[in-house]
Amino acid sequence: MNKPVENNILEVRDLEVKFFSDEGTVNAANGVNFKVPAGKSIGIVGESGCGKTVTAYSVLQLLPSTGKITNGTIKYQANDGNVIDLTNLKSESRAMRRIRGGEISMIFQEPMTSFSPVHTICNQISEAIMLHQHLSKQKARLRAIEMLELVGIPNAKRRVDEYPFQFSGGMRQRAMIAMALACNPKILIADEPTTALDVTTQAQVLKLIQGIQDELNLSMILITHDLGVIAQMVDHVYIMYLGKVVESGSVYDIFDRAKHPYTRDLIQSIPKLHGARGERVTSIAGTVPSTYKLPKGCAFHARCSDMFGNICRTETPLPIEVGSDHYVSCFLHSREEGKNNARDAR
Amino acid sequence: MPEMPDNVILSVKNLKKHFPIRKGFLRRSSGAVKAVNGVDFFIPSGETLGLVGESGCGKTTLGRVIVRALEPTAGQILFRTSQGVIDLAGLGKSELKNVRSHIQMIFQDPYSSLNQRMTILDIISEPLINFGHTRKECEERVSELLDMVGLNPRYMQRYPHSFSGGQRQRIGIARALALNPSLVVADEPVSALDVSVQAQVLNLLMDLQKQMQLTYLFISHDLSVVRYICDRVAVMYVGYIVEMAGTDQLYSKPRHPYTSTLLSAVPEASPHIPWNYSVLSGEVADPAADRQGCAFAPRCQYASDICSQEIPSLHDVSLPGEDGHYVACHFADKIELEGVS
Repeated sequence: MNKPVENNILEVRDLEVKFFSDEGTVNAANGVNFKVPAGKSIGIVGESGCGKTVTAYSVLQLLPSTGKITNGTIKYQANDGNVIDLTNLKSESRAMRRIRGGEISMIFQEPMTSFSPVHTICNQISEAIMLHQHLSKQKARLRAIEMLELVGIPNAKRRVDEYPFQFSGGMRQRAMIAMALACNPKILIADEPTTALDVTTQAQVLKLIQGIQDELNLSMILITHDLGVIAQMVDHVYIMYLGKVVESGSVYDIFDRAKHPYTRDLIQSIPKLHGARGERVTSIAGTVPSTYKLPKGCAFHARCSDMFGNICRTETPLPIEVGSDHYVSCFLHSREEGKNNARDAR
Repeated sequence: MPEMPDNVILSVKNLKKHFPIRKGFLRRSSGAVKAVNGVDFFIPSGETLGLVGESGCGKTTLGRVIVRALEPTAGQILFRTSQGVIDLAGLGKSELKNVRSHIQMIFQDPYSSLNQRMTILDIISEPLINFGHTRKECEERVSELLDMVGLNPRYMQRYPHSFSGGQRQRIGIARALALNPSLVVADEPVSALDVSVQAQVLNLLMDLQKQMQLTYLFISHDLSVVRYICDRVAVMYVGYIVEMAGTDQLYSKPRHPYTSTLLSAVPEASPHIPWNYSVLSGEVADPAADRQGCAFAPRCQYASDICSQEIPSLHDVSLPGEDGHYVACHFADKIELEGVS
C-alpha cells in the first residue's frame, strides 16, 4: 500500500465524491485521476459543475458534511518521506490538520469572503503560523509582515494591522497568497485564484504566483475555467467534464494536439485576442447535463459533434495513451481498443 | 432639434454622472464620486461599440445613464428615432416613456435579472403590456421571440429556475428585444456564463443584430470577447474615455498607454504566445478626487509634467487611410506602443 509514488508528490486515483441530499445523489467526481510531479504545476480545467473544486476540496478533506469520498485514493508524499493516503484520514484529525495549511495549502476564489471580516490580516496570517510552526506571537507577526512584503503589499508593517475591507481586491488576494505560503507548504492549490479580479490585477497576481513558485520550488494545482490562464501558467493540463478527466497531457498536447472532441471544441469556443475579427467561434451545442442523473456511456455524447455510434451512448470510454503522457477517454481514438478495455473493466 | 450625422444613432457629448458623498448629521454633500466624468462617443447605426475598462471605471454607470435608469448630472445623449434626433438627457418622465421602447438593456446576471415568481411568458410580455399590447398578442409575440433566441416556445409557462444560465440569458435577450428596439445596451451579457455557452450567446447576439438591424453598446471587461463581437471599441479609465477606434486598429496599434497595458495583461490561450506583462505600479485613481491632469498619469511610464497639470482631450489622431482613431493622451503622437497582432 505504502509504495512510494515516484517523483509525484500527490497522486489521486479513481476519486469518487458523492453529495447526498433529499433530492437525490449528486455525482460530483466519478473517478478522477491525476498526479502532481514535485515542483511542477498542473492545471485542472472545466466548466462549472464539472467537479474541479470538489476534487480540490477532497484533497484537503474540506468537503461539506453532505459530501463523501466514496472511492479512490489520494496518495501524498509527506514531509517525513512517508506516503499517506489522505482519504484514510479524518477531516478533524491531528494528522490532517498538520497537512492542511501546513504542507498543502489553498488559495480560494473569493478573497472577500475567505477572510474573516472581524480579525486583522495580522491575526489571520499569524494564526496559521503559530499553529503550524509553533512560533511565538511576536515572531509570527514578523513572519506575517515578511510574507506581505514578499507578495508586494506596500507599507506592510503598517497595513498588517488593517482589516480585510481596507484592502483592495487585488491586495486581498495577495494577502491570501501570503497566508497560504506562510508555512512553507509543498503544494499550493489555487482554486480560481483570479476569477474575481480585473485583467491587470489578475496578471499581477499570477505573475507573483509564478515567481514565488520558481523561488520556493512549490508544486501547484491550478483550478480554473480560463484557458488563457492555463496556457500561460501550467506544465500539464487535465480537462474535466462531468466529474471525470476526459483528456490530459502537456500544455502543448492540449493546445496543439487536442484529441477529445470536448477539449477541441472548448478551445475553439473561446474568442481569441490575437487574430482577425469575423471568424465565428464554434459553440458547443446544449448545456452541461445535471449531475443528479449522469448520462449513460460517454458523458459528453449528447453534445458531441463526433459521436459515431451506439458505443458512445452505452459504454464508458477509458483513458487511452495517444502520445507520451497524453491520455484521452474517447472511442474515436481507439474504437476497437476502447471497446475491449471497456469490456475488460466490467 | 439637435444635429447629428445621418449614419449615427447615438451620440454622447460631455456626459457626466456624479454621485454625491453625503456625510454627517445633516447629510451635507462633501464631494462626489465622479463615476462618469465627461464622456464623448458616438455609435453608427447597426454597429457594435465595445466599452471596455476595469471594475470601477464607470462603464456600467455610463450604460445606465444612457438608458436613463440614472439621471445624468450634465451633458447630452443624442438619440435618433423615426421622429428625428432627441436629447435623452433633457427628457421628462412622460416623454421618456415613448422613447423607452427604442432602447433596451441586457443584464449581466441571468439569475437576479429574472423574477423567480414570474413565468417566462409574464417576464417577456411585461414590456409588451406596458406598451399596450393585449394578452393574446403577447402570447404570439413571446412564442416568436423564444423561437428567435433558440428556446422552445412550449416552455413559456415555466419559471426561470427550470432553465440553465445560458438559457436564462436568452430569456433576458428575448425580453430586451420584445419591443423591437433599435439600440441595445448589453452590460456584460456573457461574463456570468460558462465558456461553451458564452460562444452560443455571442453568436446569437450577432445573428440577431443582422436580423433586426440592432445597434449594440456592448459593455465588457473581457478584451477577447470584445474583439470578437465589436466593430469599434472605446476604452474607459476612471470616468472618461481614453481611446476609441475601430477594433482591429485599436488592438494592433493602440495609441494610449493604458490600452496597451490592458492588452498585454490578457493571458492568451496558447502556450506559444508569450505573456509579456509589465506590472502597473500603484492603484487606480480615486474617482472622488478632483482631476488635475490625466487620471492615468501616476501609473504611466511615459508621463511628464504636463500630464499631471493638463487634462488631455479626446482628439482624432488617425493617420491617412485610417478610420477615426480618438485618443486622450498628450503624447499620442510621440510614443510607440505595442499592440497584439
